Amino acid sequence: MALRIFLTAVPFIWIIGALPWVNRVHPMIFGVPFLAFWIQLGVIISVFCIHTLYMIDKKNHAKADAEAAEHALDGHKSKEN
Amino acid sequence: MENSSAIIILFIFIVGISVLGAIPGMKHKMNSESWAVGDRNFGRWLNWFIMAGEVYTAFAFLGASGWAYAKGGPSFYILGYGSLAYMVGYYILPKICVYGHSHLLVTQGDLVEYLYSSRPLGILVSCIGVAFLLPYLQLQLTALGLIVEVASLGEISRITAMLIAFVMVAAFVFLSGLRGVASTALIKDIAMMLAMLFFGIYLPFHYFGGVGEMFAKIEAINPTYLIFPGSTKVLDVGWAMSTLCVMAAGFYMWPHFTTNTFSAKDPDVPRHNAVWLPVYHLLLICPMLVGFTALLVYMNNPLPVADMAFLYLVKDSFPVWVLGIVGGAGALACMIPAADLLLSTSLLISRNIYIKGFRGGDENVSPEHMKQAARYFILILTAVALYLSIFHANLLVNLLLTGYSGVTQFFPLIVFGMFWPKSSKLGAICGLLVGEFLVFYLMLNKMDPFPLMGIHFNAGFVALVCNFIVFIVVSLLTKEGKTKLQ
Repeated sequence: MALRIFLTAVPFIWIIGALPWVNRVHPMIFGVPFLAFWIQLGVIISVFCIHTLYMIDKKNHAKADAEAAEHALDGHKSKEN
Repeated sequence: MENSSAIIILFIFIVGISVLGAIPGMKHKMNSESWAVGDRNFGRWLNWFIMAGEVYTAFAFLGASGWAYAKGGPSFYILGYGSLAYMVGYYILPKICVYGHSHLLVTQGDLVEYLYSSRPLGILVSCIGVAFLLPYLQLQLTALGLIVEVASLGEISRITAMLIAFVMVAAFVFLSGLRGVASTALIKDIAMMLAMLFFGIYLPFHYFGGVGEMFAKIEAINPTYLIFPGSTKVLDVGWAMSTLCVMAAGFYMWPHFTTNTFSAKDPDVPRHNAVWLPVYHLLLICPMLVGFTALLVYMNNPLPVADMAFLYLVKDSFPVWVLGIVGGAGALACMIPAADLLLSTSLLISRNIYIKGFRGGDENVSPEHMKQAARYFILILTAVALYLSIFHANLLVNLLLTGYSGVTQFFPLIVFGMFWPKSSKLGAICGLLVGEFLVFYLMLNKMDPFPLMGIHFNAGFVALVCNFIVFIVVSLLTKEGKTKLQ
């Protein structure tokens, strides 16, 4: 659970949270301004984060989807009351 | 004419894609489920191409390069919003897909109606959704007109281009619905990926010997051009951070994405694509490289339309038939999203506003009749969008600028509506109205970005925060007890 929160938060912290500190041109990596490189790296990191979440969920997803469908019906019923 | 080759190539692209889009409609007899949501059995890669197709519109191609050309550093926000949106999507789309399957939902309006057991709220959200979809649709048309005009070196006027292309789009959407969008999105995305990669790398090398050399030159002229706030005074780090929040939250709040998600075979499809869609997003640096190159190349001859930077640079760097190809890819980048937008907008109007709002509901209306109603509205919408694009282009600019900020205001009510049992209808209405009011107020009074203590914030972000607070407070205060669906 803590892992899930961490993996979900990392892209946001990297791409949004870090901006005040990475808003710079140097060092230029692969020829692009550091700011641009940082964000692109954040995109790659996000792929890993979402992929890891996906793998974690893969074990449970059949179960979770069935639960969600059930919950959808329950939720609908409780909103009707 | 020396540019006849460009025109021929353009023609091939536009007609070719329309024929491709029309094929599903001509091959199969389409019932309403097929037409609107593709029978809900699109697998992961088809879904990937549709979703990618919706992001990589004319905006990605031309807007990204245009911003790099005109504003510099601020354009880099574009690199980041995708991943964040996809993370949000990872959580919300599978759930939306499940609701869609179990309750046969077709539109975003249906989803809201279901979540809050409230037809009026569904209708309200549908009306607001249409209000923001229309200018987005109109933008695709306007961009298409410009692209064809530039790519044909002025031989084909904007208006002619808009008329022809849009009528063709309407035709294949009419015939094939979402399946038409899907089959064409594939071609379009491949074409765009190739074009972006090639030109993004080739042009900086051609003019300056490399990407690093190109950026070094820009830095030598203006060191702060390449970071926030670039050439502007207000698009600073605060603006970037708040804008990224707005886009991450608002991305999947565009109504057509809900319908696209309902077409997925199972919830694993959007989950899987949340992993792989960001990969396409990495390519968005390429049009920006073109934009920065154009900045240097046109330093002494500023371009009249920043969004055309990509095309002008191609025109001036290659033989005219290449321009035809790029123009063709650009035209596709407008036509396919336009198709998806047209489909979703007509579904919202015909189903949620007309049939549920004025005709007493969909329970007694046959699916065949629903499909006919939606198709009828496609024709009306085509005419309206063309009229506005040709005669009132500026009228809708404000609506478009509020577009993202406006649909983001759906985030609290939809996402909390799915995950937080205490969400109430009254909370949803209050939050939504507060949010939309603030968006319009701030935009019309030129307070976007909103300055606060020396930093600037995206106006939509400010509205969203207020929206959240109102929604949560009101929901906590209201007891359960909402009207049942009629």
